[in-house]
Amino acid sequence: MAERGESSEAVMLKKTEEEKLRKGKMIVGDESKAGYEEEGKKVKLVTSDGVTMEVEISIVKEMEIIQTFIGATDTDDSFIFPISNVSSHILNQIIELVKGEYDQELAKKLSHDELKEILVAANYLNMKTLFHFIATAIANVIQNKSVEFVRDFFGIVNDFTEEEEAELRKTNAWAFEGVDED
Amino acid sequence: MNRPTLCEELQAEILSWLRVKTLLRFKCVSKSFHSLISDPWFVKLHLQRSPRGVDLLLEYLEDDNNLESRFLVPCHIGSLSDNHKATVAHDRTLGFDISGYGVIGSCNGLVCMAGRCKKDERCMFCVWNPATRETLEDLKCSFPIPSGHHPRRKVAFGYDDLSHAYKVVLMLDALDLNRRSIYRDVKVCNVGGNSCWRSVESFPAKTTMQGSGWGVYLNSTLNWVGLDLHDNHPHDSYITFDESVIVSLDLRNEKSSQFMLPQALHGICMNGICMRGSHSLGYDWDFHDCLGVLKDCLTVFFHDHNKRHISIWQMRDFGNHKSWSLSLNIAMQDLQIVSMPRPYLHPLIMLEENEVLFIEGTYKRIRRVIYDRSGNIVEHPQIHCNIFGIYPMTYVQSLVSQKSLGLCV
Repeated sequence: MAERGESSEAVMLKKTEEEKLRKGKMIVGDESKAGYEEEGKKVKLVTSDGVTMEVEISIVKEMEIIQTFIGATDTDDSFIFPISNVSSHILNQIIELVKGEYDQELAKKLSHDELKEILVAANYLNMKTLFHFIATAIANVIQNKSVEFVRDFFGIVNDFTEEEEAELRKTNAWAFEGVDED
Repeated sequence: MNRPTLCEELQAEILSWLRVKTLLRFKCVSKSFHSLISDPWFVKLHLQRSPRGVDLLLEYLEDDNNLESRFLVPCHIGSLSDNHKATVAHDRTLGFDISGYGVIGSCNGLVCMAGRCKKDERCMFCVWNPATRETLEDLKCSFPIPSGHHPRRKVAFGYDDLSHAYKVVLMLDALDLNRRSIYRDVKVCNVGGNSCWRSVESFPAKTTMQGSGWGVYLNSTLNWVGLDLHDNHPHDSYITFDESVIVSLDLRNEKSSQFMLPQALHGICMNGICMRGSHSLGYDWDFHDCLGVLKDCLTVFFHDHNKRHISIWQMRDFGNHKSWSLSLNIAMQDLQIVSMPRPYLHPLIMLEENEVLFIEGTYKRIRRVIYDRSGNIVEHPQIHCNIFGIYPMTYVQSLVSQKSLGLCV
């Protein structure tokens, strides 16, 4: 039930986003090259590992960081946008998720490191729908997990003394019941 | 290859989507996690994102003859199935003993209970967070009940987001010539601290209140269905929707206003059923509550026992009586309710636009009924329990604690 609620929220978010983009497009359309409007047009992105990828405009539109840039300058076919924080592997994953309309099943196939890297990339590219989707997907992964699992997941070193930790565990002992196996 | 790390901001983003129990556990992860999860800023973010309509609080009575044997048990809606019966019946460690107290309302994930001290006639208040299982000691307080004979006192609880204060409202009544309660004096008080009762100046003078007396809380306001009884209204006649109004108290400025009920219901009789009384403070034998909140809208629930159908009206734009719209209209037979003639049936949660979760609580039994307007799908697992009665209510899970009070939540 919670999942359904979340997904409908994601859809809503997406709708607002699209609306915003449509409005943005109208303004952009008046002054920039008409070619940008064409369906199926691709934008060249250079990833952190130096790969130039041609990405469909519909997906690039979700990347607000690029969107602002395109809106502010005259662009043509030779326009190449460097995304120095995102690898080609992660960009491919992002394209899959956007094309798959943010299906939770797709997120389940991703490794923990991939999930984290996509979150960082979504934050950097300012992709709001993807960011929300991945943050909740990661939350689902760690929801019923142990403290040790979470330390490992985030690469966090425990800086409590043994006594301090024991005391904290005692305070909310019931919260440690019914935890999944790591 | 280096494993990717997430900065604190991104970690907070992920944690804000977790359940309270998980977060209490993760306080042990590290010192930075501990301080993040306790931070009022994070508590507020988490509360905003905490899913609505998935957490229930079951108030159950073990014995009808002993109103003191009552417990509050939090439960997730997903667990409301046949498997749940053992938990409801036996797991008392989960719950909060509310003997001597009655629940008067819930907001921001906190539940307020009020009781009356028999020795010195004081109102006692206690605030509990069912998700963290913490009793907020700073909000424990008691006030003298204003003097005079008031057979049907009512209390309500809410939050004022302007002064960041939790407040209780006390309604004191008097009887009119027909021995009906008329609420003449309404007082507000901050919960906790050294506060005292303040009178609400503009409260409608000749208003009696429907329902159990819990004001329905929505965005810093408390709302009741009030009947503006004129003196020549016959004592035993039915009260219709047009004779009633919604009386709303804004906790920010402590002023009241009123607005009309759905026009389409005017002329129709508001026949309620006697189900739930606020036992602790008054001696109510009340009408079935017809006011609630579904999907952040003030909602009127009308159960027409004669025509055997249920309708749900929602005020889309709070305070604007023209914005009442009919959300749902169902014939009882479609709900397959069998506990006739008058089941205790209450819409608790609007799951999606077309789905409503009803809780049917009758003696020794609770049923979950999901109505899907588009497909007429009805789902109704039952829970039988060895107790006298269950009264369900919804709450939102939050981390609001003693420490985060009055800071920014």
